[in-house]
Amino acid sequence: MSSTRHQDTKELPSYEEALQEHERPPPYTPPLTGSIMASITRLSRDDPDPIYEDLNNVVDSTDFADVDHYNYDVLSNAVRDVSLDTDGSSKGIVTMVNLDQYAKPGKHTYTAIGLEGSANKLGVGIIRHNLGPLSQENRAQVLSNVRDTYITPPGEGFLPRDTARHHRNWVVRLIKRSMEEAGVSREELDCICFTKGPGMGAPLQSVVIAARALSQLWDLPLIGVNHCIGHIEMGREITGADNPVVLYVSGGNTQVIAYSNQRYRIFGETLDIAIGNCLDRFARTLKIPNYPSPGYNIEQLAKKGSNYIELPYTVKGMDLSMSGILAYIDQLANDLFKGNTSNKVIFNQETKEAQITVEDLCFSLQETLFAMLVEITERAMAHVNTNQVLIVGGVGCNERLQKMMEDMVLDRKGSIYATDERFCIDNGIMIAHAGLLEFRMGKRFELKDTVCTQKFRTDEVLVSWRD
Amino acid sequence: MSDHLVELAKSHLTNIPVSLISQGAESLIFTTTTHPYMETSDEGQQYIVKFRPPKKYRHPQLDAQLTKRRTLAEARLLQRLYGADGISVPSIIAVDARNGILWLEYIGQQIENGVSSLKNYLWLEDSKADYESLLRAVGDMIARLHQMGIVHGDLTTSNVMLQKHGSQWAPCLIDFGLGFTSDLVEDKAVDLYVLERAILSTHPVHSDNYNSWLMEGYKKGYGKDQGKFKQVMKRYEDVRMRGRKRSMLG
Ligand SMILES: Nc1ncnc2c1ncn2[C@@H]1O[C@H](COP(=O)(O)OP(=O)(O)O)[C@@H](O)[C@H]1O
Ligand SMILES: [Mg+2]
Repeated sequence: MSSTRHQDTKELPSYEEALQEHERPPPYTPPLTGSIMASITRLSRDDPDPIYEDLNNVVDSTDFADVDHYNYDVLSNAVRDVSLDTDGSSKGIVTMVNLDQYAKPGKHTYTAIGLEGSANKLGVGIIRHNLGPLSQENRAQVLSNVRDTYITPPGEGFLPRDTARHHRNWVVRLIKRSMEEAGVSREELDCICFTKGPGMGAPLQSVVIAARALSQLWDLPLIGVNHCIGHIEMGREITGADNPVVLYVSGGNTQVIAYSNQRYRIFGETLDIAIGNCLDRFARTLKIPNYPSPGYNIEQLAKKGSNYIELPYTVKGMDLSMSGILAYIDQLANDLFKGNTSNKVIFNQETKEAQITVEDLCFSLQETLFAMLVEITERAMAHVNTNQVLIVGGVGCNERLQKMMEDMVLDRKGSIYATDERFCIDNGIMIAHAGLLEFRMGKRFELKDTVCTQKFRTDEVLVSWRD
Repeated sequence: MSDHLVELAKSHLTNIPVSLISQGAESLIFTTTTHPYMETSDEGQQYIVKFRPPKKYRHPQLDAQLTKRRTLAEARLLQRLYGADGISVPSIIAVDARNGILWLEYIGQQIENGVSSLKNYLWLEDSKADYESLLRAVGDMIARLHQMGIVHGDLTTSNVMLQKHGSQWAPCLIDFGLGFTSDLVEDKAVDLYVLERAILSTHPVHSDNYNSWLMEGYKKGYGKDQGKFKQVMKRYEDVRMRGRKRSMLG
């Protein structure tokens, strides 16, 4: 299992300590500036670099007040039309996938920049492929991969408008930073890839604007990428998993996926809320910090819990449901906080003392939810006859989930593949990578088609680069 | 398939020779020629031993509870359904709920690509002639199940076995571990939705046909009781809509 975890976050306070901290003025940066990941240094916005100044102007001048109804035609009309080679788009599928049909003569590599901002993370990454099919011997190179997360105070979720503002505020700096880290010039880039969806409208759009502006300024084609496909392809590339069942678990998605006939097919998924959403909302009930992420903080608390409390267990075939579990555990937490001693699960009926801690609640929630995830993954594996599993998406960083999945897979004599937080958590490099695969297959977007969409199912994408 | 699990199964089945034939979604499936309590009369008569092993990944409390609950649910439902009009399920021979073991009638046979499950048969893609009648028959059977107030809980093409009746294949429903009794339209609608999605992902090329044949059979299975059918359909549309509208933020 290739999971080297990034452990730069300091030992977390206990629940009591975390709460006390919360009662003082919460240590958070106001929404306008957002906060920064340790690895990203702040860049000056007054930087006189003319390339980025233009970009800054475009991004700044966009009015996001009514962003969900933003009319792209205004921008399209204002900018030059990009002339793109569109030959390839109508060609049929060939039996052997040829990724170099559209290679520029004399060039031995492709380089792409990817922009991701479908939720509260803004990521920019630059990837390089050599000619020829990707393999263990011919691997993609990550030239840079930077990210900034919009963190909200404890008890609060991130709103589309504020998140969009965060992205708009940071996107130019991140692009610049990623270009510098990669050490590539814009002449070396083949295309600009952006997240087309799924995700939150306003944040997605703020990133599309930046991608469009950049494409006009640098005269490069645009490729729109399905966020989930980005996760899957990057996961496969990093781990070398060849044809796994994919468990995709993040703030907005919970899907069990397997490849067949040029599509990533969804075998199982949540019937209501996503796993990350469930954890985030419970973190809000507990009012624990959202830094570095609510799920990470629940994981740390769960490590200190040991009493297992029975929660509803709701697997439906290869699908699952989580809203009932959340409602139930929220109720337990509220009874604990209010001291509702009539709750027999929480309070000892003789002594009237709490016999369950917040840590126990986190522990039980994880044990139940993750057991359901592992179970539906195993169901899909049996159904499609495979013994490889790849975990992608932000919740995939969770060590307990990885361990449980490993235990299941070992009993099937299979193998598990997972990545660390650089690739699990939303990032720009996965968008660059998946977009570059599309680019190499000849996919091109007209400027008018470079829009984003909040709903964009994984199985809508034709996976032309696999056979 | 992990050897220690096979050993564990054998330790619960002393003096009974079993051979592993498959590892399902949550269980190990063995065949044996030994009947648990009767002298075997038929030479070569085969029985199925279904073993739900402990899952190491689950909390032991949750694991014990799920194994017991599912083994018992499956036994009870098979017992109720056996012989029911228009429904075919394997007969249940013995139960050991604590160890997660069921003895079942052996259903089906080998076909070109493995056991005669509906999944394998549809994957063959060559004998299309009877696909329509078969899928209608499956739909019909699910309707009858639902009318008895029973929800399968895990409807996939792996969980429908095919049996030869003369020269024709006939469906037989298996794997009732996630089943339960309910008269709520919501539960029945979700049951159908899970099946629709399984068809979509497992048999993508012809899923539209397959699903409409299933639904036609399902409608027919309600016979004169079309009012009930309409109620389930109405909720089914709601469930599908929820699926489409579900937010996918992040
Ligand atoms: N009664 C039976 N007769 C023949 N084969 C069976 C029988 N029960 C199960 N099987 C085979 O074993 C597989 C797994 O059994 P199933 O009951 O579906 O367990 P699981 O819950 O593990 O999926 C089935 O897909 C089928 O191929
Ligand atoms: Mg089964």
